[in-house]
Amino acid sequence: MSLATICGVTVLRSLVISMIGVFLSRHLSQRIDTGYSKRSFTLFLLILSPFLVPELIVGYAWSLISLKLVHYPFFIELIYASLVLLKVVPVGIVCFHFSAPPVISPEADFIQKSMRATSASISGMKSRWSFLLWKTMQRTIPVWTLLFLLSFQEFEMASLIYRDSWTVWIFDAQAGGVPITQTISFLTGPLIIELLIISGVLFLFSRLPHPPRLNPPSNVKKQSLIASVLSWSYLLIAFFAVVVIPFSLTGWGGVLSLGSLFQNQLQLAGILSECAWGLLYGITAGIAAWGLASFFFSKNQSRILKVTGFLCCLPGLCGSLTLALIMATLFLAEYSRWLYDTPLALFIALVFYLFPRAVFLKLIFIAQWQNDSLFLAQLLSQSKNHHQAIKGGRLRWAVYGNMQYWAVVILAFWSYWDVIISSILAPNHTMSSAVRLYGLMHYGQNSILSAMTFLSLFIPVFVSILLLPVVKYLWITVSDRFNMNQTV
Amino acid sequence: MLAIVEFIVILAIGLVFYYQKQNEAIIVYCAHDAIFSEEILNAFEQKTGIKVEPRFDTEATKSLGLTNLIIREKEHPRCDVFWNNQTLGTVALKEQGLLEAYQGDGYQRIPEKFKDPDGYWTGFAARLRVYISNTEQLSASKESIEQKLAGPLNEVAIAKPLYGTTLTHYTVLCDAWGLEGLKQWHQSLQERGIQETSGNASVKNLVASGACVLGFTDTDDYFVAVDEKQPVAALPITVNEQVILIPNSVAIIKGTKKRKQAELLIDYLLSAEVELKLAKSQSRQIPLGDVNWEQVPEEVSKFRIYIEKAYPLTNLVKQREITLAWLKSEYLK
Repeated sequence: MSLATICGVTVLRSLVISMIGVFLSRHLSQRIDTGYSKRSFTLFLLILSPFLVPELIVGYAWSLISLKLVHYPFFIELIYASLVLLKVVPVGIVCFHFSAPPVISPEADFIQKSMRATSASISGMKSRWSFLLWKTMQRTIPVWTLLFLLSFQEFEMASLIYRDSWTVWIFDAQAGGVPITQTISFLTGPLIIELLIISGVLFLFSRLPHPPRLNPPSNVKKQSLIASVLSWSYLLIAFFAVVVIPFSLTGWGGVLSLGSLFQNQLQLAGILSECAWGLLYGITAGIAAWGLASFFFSKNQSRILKVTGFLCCLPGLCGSLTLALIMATLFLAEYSRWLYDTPLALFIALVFYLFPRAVFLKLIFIAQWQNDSLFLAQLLSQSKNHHQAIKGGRLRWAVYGNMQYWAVVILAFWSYWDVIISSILAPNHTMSSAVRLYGLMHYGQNSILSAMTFLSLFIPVFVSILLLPVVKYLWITVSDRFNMNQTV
Repeated sequence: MLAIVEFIVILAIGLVFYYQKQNEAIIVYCAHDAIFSEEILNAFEQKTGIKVEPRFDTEATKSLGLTNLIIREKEHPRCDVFWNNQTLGTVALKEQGLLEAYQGDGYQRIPEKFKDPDGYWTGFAARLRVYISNTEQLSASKESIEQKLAGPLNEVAIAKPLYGTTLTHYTVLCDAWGLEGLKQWHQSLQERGIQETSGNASVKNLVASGACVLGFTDTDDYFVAVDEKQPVAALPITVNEQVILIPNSVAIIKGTKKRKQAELLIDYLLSAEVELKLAKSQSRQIPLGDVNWEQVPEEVSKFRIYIEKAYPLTNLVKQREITLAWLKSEYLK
């Protein structure tokens, strides 16, 4: 199949996924809105876990299942598209949940509908369009764009389940040795599609009287019993398909085979070293992306810097493949060739890749931080009484620092499981474990691979839990000293 | 927060300089499967104290990725030794003047038909191109396979021929039948619904799982299925009564600054010790040089008779170019 055809197939698939995704997200966000008031941690976990499980593990597990369906490509396509849908819907739910409600109030909507039959100016096409735009499109289109881009850029699952996707086509072509300049030319079509869609959203934003905001939900509507049952059913199916099945296929076998892996010193040393590199890249790039997002999108930042920050989001929004190939081109140029094959090229690419995600998390957290508890905790931490200041520091950690820590952990986790950027830009012996697993997963299932996958998943989770008290202690101590200095 | 960002930048710059100083290790581009080759390279490190930095290829683009990477980096080569899992790509590198000749001890023990007469590359430890069949659904006899290949092919699998040993297979067919004959055969496979997959490993997976009854793959993938106790059998693919025996090949990259270390590694890879190791490994490679055949596992030594019947691959550069150009026009448009 030619690239143009495959690109068309990917666009069509992504359109269907993103439209269904928006519909599901909007309805499911009401479920989370209801659960939010109860502070249901389980509900959040249930909703977000499909998005957080690495595509590599999901793709691997379902590639083993779909092997038997090789004569029924339609069903394999259905499985793949469903998996992508299940993975992007949590993003839509979070967006709908945290986005500000439409500027059109229910009362204004009612008046507009009542006036349709009359000849009043409010019933004209222009005003109808305006109502539609402010009522639904303002929230829906940005979410749809995000879901479309995520579906359109998906790579790992498509590659492991052998589905046609422009990302797989171009990745295989570049790995197959097509000159980098020619590979870049292949990117033109997909890049135009992505930029058109991003520009469309920007145009929409430019027409808004107020910039879009992210707020915690204010008015919570009660869901009907049927809607509630359907929402729970969806969440359970998604959790089962994207979390339970992949982990039961790789997890249990992996635990049982850990003994064999520990006996194979060479494999063990290899995977541990690659996990360490993946963690190093992930943590450094995660902290840098979060730091830059905090700098560019802090509350009182100037408009110019915010626009600059948004421009910095563009490479990441265009996907890891586009980003990695452009970086490879830049670092293969004469003047920067000395940096090629060093971790710097990979580090910069990962920061760009994570930056829009960091901004997204930042905007969500800004909405959370605009409350009195943070202000009060800050006041308490500035107390001259050392005991009170320490208590204040702990409170600030609880309402502010803790979230930042987990934001960086999530960013590092995304970077850790990235295959494309690492495989194109990582120096020879500092590949991350995701690249090795991606290669091995094409061979089929075996116990050592399951054990390696389990270990690769377990290590970052373990490290993030292990580092939590250390970072908490340092954070409180440093902020305490900082406040002491300020007081003095 | 800015302090943290600064710290990260400093750390990154530090790492860059750290890497600039790491010039003692020999860089090996290795298209042979990492799970088999790492042990060999590790043994070399322990034996000589020379550090080896391998770079492996992905399953989907076996060997061609690294071959082209060497071409891409020809102005500033970073690879010192290329361990290819086949020969044609390496021969193409020689044609482009990207290799340095070396005829050491290892070169001497390899038969003439598996090495470059000028010493630019040397073959060792080969695998066979085979039909893999699911024994629960199809017997591995020549007759039943020919019968299966004469009809609809929706239960037969082959890897995308753009890369790896399937490309070598196509090149041999191009040499034997001419490009038009190859095109007709390929067209016929497509029309009869052959299952085209990303690599030989997935061909093996499809046949072993019973989703397909027959596939084109290599002996190393076949043995993976055997070790997994899958119901599979293999039969060598023949072209004009000759088998497609695909040796690994090793070569020194032109412009290397570690010529001495590279020579030591090449001698080691071409030694009887390594050929025996590869014969005993999960990939069961067939030794080409003189080895003690009593030490070779029986399942490998049964393929010894095919060494004499191997299709000559050393002079197929032109055919590879023609085949690859045609395949690129088919698949990369």
